[in-house]
Amino acid sequence: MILVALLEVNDLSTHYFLKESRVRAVDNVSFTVERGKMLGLAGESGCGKTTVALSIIRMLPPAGKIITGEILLDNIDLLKKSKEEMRKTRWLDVSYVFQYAMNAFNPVMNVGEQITEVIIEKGGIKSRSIKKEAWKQVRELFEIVGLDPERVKNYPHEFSGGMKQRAIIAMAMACNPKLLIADEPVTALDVIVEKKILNLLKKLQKDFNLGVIFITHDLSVIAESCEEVGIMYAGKLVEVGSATTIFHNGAHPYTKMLIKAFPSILGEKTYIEPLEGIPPDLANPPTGCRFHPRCPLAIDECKKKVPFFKQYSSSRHLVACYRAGEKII
Amino acid sequence: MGFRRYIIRRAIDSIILLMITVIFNFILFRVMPGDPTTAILGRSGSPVYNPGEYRTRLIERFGLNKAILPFIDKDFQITPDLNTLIDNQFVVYIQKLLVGDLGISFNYFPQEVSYLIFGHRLLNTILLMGLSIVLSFLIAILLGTLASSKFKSKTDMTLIFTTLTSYSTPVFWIGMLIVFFCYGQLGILPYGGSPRIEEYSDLSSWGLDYLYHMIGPLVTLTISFVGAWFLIARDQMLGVFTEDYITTARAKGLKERRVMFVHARKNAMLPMISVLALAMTYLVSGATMTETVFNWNGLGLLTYESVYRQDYPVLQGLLLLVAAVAIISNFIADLIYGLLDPRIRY
Repeated sequence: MILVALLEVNDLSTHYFLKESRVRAVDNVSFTVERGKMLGLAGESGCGKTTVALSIIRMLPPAGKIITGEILLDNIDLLKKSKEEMRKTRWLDVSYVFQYAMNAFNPVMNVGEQITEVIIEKGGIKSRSIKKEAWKQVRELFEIVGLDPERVKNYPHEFSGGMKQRAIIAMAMACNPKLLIADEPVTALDVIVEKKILNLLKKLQKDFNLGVIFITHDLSVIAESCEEVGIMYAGKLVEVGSATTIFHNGAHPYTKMLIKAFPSILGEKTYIEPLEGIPPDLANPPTGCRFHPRCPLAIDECKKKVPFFKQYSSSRHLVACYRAGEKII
Repeated sequence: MGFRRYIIRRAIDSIILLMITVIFNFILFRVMPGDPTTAILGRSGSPVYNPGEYRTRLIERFGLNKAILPFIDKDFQITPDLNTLIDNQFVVYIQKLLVGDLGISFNYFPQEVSYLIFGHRLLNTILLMGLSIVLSFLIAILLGTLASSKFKSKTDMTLIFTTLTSYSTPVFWIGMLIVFFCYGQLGILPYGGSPRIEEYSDLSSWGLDYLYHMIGPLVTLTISFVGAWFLIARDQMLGVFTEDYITTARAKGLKERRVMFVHARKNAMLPMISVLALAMTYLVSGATMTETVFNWNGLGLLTYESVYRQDYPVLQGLLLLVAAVAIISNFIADLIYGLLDPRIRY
């Protein structure tokens, strides 16, 4: 029996069609997520991380269209599902923790109500006993994420930022999903709460054998919690591999420069090296490798031909670069 | 606990506001030009045997020779007279107000203002305005939800065009068009008027004729109300659609119906409560123009008459009633806000 990955994204391209231009927000991206593993997607703002995530649950804004690719969840292509089937899949199989913890809850409904409604909806039948059961589940979920179960009937504004984020995670776990997409779940929080939320996510991932896609621009968060890492640049996935490989043996010049741009707490005190230049306009991306205008190693080939993924140090370490592994002077 | 304190605080606010309104209402009609006696004597037209003496008696009868406020005499001059402390027009006004006496109309002399206002006119206006407000409100919300769910579609554009047209059309003109076509050309509606129950043998025949006469003004008012409220309702819904919690609700895979009617509309309707609270004053002020066009005997028509004939006591009474209703309905709206939106209570 061949073990199938939980989520397999193949050759996904998502473009935004604006009035006069076409923004290639995500181009030919492929990756897999295993059960019980956390994949960290990192990259600068606007590199397409969120677009990848929104493509998976098919919740793109009206201008966004998925051009090519397949998204296999347990070997079933989500892109082939009808709208109604997709609606049923959401939250039951894939749940999503949004960037905006503060406004993710409806202010005029209490938190418990917003969690029970999805349990009841996904449970299918509406009856009084189900309602009672749902409330019981919410109390349990609150306990799992470390909230006081007595506060299920509180309104969102009565929660602090960290508590709201916990409640959102409780909501995300409500229907026992297979895959959890966390889009910058800790960006709005301070470092202490951040750490607690990360530990919570980590614990849930292990306890429930959950596949997690963790989106962030903060490499330190990824280093701490993810098994696998994908580095994105300008709509392209440029390098994928295990966290240790990427951090110690990263081969793409962008990966190396990104890591160097983060200060190390334990290492020597040196000046951090900022990444020069700005990311390209995706309505009009550079030819060849999209990183070549900012890349110190760029050669003529980089400007002409798009580099494809190649195995680098191991079968699970893929890099899209002609000059992978070469030293930056 | 929080909610009770909120109610008490709002109630105190409302009472203070009401008192200020009473004072302003009193002063406003004292500083207006013209003497009430002139209005009565000048209007009567008949040669009065001795106008001078008649005027003096009227002034005494109305108490117009008394000081206006403590230490301010009838000509708005400061006076040191201690008697004015209690014996002044304001104290008399408040005393009479507390027992429901709003004075005597000049125009309908010697009928009392309270009789003129709180009678069949009030009923006529409340029935007409209440029905048209409820009707327009429901239509506006329904169309607003429809248009916002089909944003920028043909339906949306058509609705916006229609309602903008009806909103910017003067209401009396809509009324006149209805009279012209439905009465003049087609003859399917009566010319105007509001049937009084006394003139009918039984309740049902009165009710039918009453509703029949109401169609014209009702349609006119609904057309003009829907115009403004539709745009507000649509705008509110669209604003809510871009909120993050709506995205969350959709990502949760809830039925679109639930997202629209439970998550979006509950938030979008909050500002509509203010709109409704403001509209409550129409319940008693009536739509002056519509009532005049259709000769609907309500408070709007009374206002028109009173302004035309400088019937200050009636205007004063009407103004006070409108202000009181405005304050009370805003108080109620605040309570509803507090109930619907848990964030407001604290």
